[in-house]
Amino acid sequence: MSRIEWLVAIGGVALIVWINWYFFLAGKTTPPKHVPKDTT
Amino acid sequence: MTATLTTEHRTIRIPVTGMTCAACQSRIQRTLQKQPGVDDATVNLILNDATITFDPAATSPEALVEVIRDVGYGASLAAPDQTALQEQVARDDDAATEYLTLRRKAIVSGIVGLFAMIISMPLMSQLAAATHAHGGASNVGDPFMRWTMTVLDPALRRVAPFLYAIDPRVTTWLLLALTLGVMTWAGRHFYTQAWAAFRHHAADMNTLVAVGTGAAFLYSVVATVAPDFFVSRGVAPDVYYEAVVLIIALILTGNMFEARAKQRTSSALRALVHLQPKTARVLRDNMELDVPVESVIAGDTVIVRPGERIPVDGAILAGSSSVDESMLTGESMPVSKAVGDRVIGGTINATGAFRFRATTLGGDSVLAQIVQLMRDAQSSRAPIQRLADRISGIFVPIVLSLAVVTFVVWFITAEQAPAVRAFAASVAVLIIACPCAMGLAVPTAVMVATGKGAELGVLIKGGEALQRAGDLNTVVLDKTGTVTEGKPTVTDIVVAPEGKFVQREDALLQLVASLESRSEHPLADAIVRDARARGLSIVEPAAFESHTGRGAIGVVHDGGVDYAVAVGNAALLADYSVNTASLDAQMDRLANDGKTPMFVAVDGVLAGLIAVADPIKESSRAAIAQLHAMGLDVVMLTGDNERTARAVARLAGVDRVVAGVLPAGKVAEIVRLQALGRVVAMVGDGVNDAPALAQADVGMAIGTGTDVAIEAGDIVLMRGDLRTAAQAIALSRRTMRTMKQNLFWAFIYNVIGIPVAAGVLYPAFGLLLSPILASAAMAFSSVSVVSNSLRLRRFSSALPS
Repeated sequence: MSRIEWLVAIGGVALIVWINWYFFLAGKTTPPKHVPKDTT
Repeated sequence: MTATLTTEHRTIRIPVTGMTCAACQSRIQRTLQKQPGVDDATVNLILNDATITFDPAATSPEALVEVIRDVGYGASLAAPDQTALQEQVARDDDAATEYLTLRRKAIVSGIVGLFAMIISMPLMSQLAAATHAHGGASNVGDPFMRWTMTVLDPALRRVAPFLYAIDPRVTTWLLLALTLGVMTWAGRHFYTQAWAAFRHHAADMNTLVAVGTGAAFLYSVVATVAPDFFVSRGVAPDVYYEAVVLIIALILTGNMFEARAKQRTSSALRALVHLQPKTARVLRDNMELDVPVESVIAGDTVIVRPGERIPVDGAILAGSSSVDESMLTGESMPVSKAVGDRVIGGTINATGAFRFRATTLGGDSVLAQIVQLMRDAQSSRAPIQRLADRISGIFVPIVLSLAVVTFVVWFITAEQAPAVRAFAASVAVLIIACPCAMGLAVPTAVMVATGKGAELGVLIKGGEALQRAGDLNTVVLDKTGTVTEGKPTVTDIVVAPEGKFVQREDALLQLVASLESRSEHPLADAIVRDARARGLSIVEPAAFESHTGRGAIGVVHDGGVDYAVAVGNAALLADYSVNTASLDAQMDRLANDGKTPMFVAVDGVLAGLIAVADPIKESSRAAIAQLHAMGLDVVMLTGDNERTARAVARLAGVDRVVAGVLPAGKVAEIVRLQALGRVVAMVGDGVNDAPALAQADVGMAIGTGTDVAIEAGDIVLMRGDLRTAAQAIALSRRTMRTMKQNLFWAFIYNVIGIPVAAGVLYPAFGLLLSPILASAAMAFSSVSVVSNSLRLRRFSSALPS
């Protein structure tokens, strides 16, 4: 494999890791919470 | 919005706009469920609403609306005094507007897409030639474009040669402008919603479309702005503008068909909503006035003429008629109505004119309650939906990962133009993978089935009831009012050969009815009703004495003569030394048929016998045969004695009967059957059998016309016809089959489509799927799933006999 192909392969793996981290892990740790505006 | 109060918590329904697929629905639902104070949240993709149960002390409807908006969707609270009918009308209007908007966008994008494709063809030839001059290879990576160039390009050269004379730079800049226009106008929501989802660590169909078309567009912009960068490296500066526009056009076309099909799935509900007339003719200050139906108040006298639709619920004050209630009960025969009878808003007055007093109005009317019930049912989720939910929640990130894998593999392995091939294949993977079909598979089937049920007079209260009814293998029937009419009537009058009433049945009945008119026993009531029905005059008895458990005796003055009358069992007549031998055999025969025979003696001589029974409904025998034909075991429960119960069971064709059971005993019998692994439906009236209906896996409340308590049971049979129970089960089974087919096709589409788009068939067969074909396939998948659900509308009420 050429250097550019290695770069694409490594970049691809990194992107997949990021996608899965962002959508499956990061989302779980910071759920959006809303404080009720009016509870009266 | 409609709101109901529970003990502490409230349930509201908030209309949501902008949802396009199961992932949207799943995301809103998850976010809502995470909110403090929210007990449960269900989002319906088809009805476009969120049903939320929450603690008012911890959150508010306004805060929940804000949550939905923050996730990237539209939400607003409807007027609090809107009835289910008004709300449904507003929804229908919104749905119609959405369809028209999608249609306009799809048509314009389609026209622009075709134009872009035509002007792209000369461009491809010119770019390929330019690359060739620099020693590079022609790399029209998109097989769809390659096909258009080999087939359509020669024809275009003949028809419009001037296109080939245009400077490629002019064409690419023109395409850029057109594409940008389509993306920002017709496809804007894909990008805004994808971004809103991304901010919340979520991804949906919009993400796939946005990433796919966005990547193609950015690549094309670089090729437009700096074509020399590509040419100098031996790669044609291909642009994918036409692909971007056509993908958007095709997806919008799919969404448009989907919107129309979704509207059709709720056509039954819409038909119900439109049953209510806009105006009513009321009598005020002795004047007939046409007023809007909303202005009618309880107690108003409403006038209805032949052929008119009855505007509101009420009770007849004067006049009589027959009323077509088929739209609410499925009963095809008009129902006779006289003074005192109840009429229902939305039904059609067939023959006579009458006046009635308006009773229940607005949200409390029968029609509004049915509409509310159906809307609740259609918002509910079938358990089978959970599978689709789980998959669609993780689907899009996995597809994004697969697209990256596709890009890398193509980039490393393609011999010619690896970047372009890698690019085309990964865009195709993004575009073909759509969770839309998965999201539509179950709710569309639930909607069509509940609508079809309503047409047949069967109200199914949601996906869960539908799914459980599809799994039934045992049906438990209550006897009185379910298998039988529930109203004792005189079935036989036999005159004794030695008595005074030979050939004078009516005279005998008249005497007995006159005596029994003082009794409050249900059997006496049946005799009196029968005499009145025959037009016999009933006189007040001169003397009356009730003998509990045996009968009654007394004196009836008729035609100037006093008759000493005794009506009752053999023991009563034996007390008065009346010989019953001549009718003993008849007595036994009638008793064995499940009837209650009573001897009649007049002036100390046996005069005859009268039998009273709760007759089996005409439809019951056929219904039970249908249930058997469907492979169901049928059990009858009754509080009656064993002999009567067995006789009824024999006549109705029931396999097994449990007699002498109290309501608690009915529950125990159902529990026993469930412990044996049976999935049990209980069919009974919604009042006496409430505990048994609740215990059964599926409770079916049966009623006569609109008198049925529609809050009882999981399924409400509007007609007192047991055959509708068989229809409900058959419809549920058919619906489950449709749901499974839908899920199968939705999954198989992705299981096959994604690898093909990624290019797994390319090494062996040279087969690739272009992004344009992928977008067409995606649109087709959603439409096919909805169409399959719509087939349920053709469910036939005819059943195996």
